[in-house]
Amino acid sequence: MPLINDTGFVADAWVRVGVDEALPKADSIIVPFARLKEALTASIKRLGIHVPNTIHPVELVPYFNQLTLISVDFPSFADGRGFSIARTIRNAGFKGELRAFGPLIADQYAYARSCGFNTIEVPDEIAARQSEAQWKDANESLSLSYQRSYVHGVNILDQRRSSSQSVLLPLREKLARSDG
Amino acid sequence: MNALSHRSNSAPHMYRYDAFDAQFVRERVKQFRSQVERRLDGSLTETEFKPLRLMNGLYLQLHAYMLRVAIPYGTLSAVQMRQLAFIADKFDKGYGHFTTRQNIQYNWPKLKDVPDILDALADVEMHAIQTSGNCIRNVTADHFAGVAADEYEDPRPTAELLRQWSSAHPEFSFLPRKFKIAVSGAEHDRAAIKVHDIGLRIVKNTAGELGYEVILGGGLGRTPMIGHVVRDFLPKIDILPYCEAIMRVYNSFGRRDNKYKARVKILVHETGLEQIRAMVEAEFASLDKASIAHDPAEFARIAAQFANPVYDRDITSLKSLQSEMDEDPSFAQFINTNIAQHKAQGYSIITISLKPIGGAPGDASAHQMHAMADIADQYSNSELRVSHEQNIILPHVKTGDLHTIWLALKAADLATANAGLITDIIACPGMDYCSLATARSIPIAQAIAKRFENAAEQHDIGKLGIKISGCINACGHHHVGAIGILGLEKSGIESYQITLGGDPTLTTAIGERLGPGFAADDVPDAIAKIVDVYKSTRTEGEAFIETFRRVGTAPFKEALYAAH
Repeated sequence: MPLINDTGFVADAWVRVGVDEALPKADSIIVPFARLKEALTASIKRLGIHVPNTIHPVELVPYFNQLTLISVDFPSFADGRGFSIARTIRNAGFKGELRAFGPLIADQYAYARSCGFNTIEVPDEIAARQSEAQWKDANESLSLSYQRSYVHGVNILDQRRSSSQSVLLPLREKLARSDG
Repeated sequence: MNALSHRSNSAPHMYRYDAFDAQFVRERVKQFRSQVERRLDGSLTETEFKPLRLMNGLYLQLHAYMLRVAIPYGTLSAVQMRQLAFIADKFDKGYGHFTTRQNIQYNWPKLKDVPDILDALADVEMHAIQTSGNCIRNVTADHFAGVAADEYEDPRPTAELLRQWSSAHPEFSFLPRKFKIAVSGAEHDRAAIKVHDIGLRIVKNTAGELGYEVILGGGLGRTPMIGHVVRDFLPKIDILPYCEAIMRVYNSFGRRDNKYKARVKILVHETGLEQIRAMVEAEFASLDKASIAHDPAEFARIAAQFANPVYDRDITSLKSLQSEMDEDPSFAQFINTNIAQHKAQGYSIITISLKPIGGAPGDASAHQMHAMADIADQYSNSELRVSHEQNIILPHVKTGDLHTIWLALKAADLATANAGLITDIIACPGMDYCSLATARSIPIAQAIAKRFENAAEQHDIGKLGIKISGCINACGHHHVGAIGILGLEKSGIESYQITLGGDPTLTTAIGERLGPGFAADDVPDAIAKIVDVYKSTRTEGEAFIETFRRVGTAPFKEALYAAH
């Protein structure tokens, strides 16, 4: 399925395997969470797992060092549990790639990035409707955010903390221009 | 008499956007404009567009779109009120509807005009962000904030901090269901904090420090529940990390299999208070609080903007008010019902009733909005408030100006002397506008008001809140009405169930149902019978709710159903 990161639609180096499939000969493999123990013994070069959005992220913490990628399932774009899972996984110190998997829409890209995801893997049908340009535009549509410690964009509260006229003036000028 | 000692126009004392806030709202409008365009060109399906438009306050109703505009914590400047009037005139049918969540709704906007309306709102530091959808909604607060005589601390700086924190929250914008936060900072609760998802009450601990009592899991809707204290004292600096912990627990574990069981009240109820508290506290303990918490200087920056205006010490004596009341009994009635005690001597708080007899509760015309803005400019430091009772408040008026203001209100048909009385009815829009409604609300409110229009009778009955909802979702808050009325549809016929004893304040109670419902035409008679029981049962000075608590449902049931 199409993969999106900050540069746009990109090639996917990872291979996904199902619950019953044999492990392929590949360097980068994403296995279902249920096959984690088996995969850990299979000497895979880069191991990723795919987890349902009902998982307690604390269960994953012992495996962080052996995992290069964690893929979090989004059964529907309206089901926001995956955002909290990503945030919790990052809070717990996972440094690898976090991937959102499911029918997310372009308008959610910035939220996903803020919560700690690096990539989004969407169904073909969504990529066909929502172009690379739309994903990029949506990502840049809100350049400021009010929540501290989320990773994306310019944080307003932290900016205010260090704010001076030198910070505020260019913003005011920019606003005045956009009003015109 | 010195009633014409007009205050000069002065800047309202409320939060003003800085360049960041202004840019954020402009970008949000631009983002919505793009979302509308992408819906129209097919990039977004209707299913995908729906939560996006809801998070910008746009509903598809029975006859048209409805736009719900946020009035954060109900505080509004005269300039903003005029802009609401301008929008009503230019994009709607010349009026707006103030809601039980301190917002205003426009019932007839066109989809193509909505981005322009949002730009017009941004021009006066307003927006429609998160007035709907499964996200953290517009934060509400005591409508007497900053001026109430019984206040510990103005709740609005906390509410503004939460407004900012919850705006476009990356983690909590696709929750199981809507999430409502209310803040109170006074001894009496005028913000209904126990029937919100989170209610925050500013309290003082034994060391004399201010903090928050955190109440979780209240709500109305089809399963009314009273919130529980999940933390009895939360230091102020921890408010954002603690809210983040609650929201993460709710986002992770709230039910998503059934929208009617998806509110946090159900999670609290099914999981148990002790277990939920343990989960929230564990999450809170795991957080790097310093990286999440606000800067105390930021709170101070916000709070400073809500500081009271400098009050004039040169006050007209109360003696002249008394003589004005003696001269004009209808002015005296207005004073007796629509004035609340202000914390500054010589000042009063006026409630402007949007409940004229025969009117739609909460509606105001553009002309009336202009009149209220002008009066606020001249006599109330250019400030107004919206109450969850769907009335408008003038928070800083000189007691000596009351008679002049009353005359000006009268000229705009805004001097109905019924605040808190039986005709000050809260009602949802009901089947006249709402696609969810199963019965009409506004015509029922109008019929009851007509029945009790005699001013002397209203005053004799005294304080009595009637709240009407046109469906089980309870937007009219009927569960917490001293008299609650719920309109349902039974095999094609509207039927109205009556509950008694509801109370939205700190002594929160959910009303008890009396029995089978009534046909629409029979509701005013039923209410009259209830009132008759009260009048014949009450002791000297006893309010309706007190009589009900003393005697219970039995005599009321008897009056309504015994003859059947």
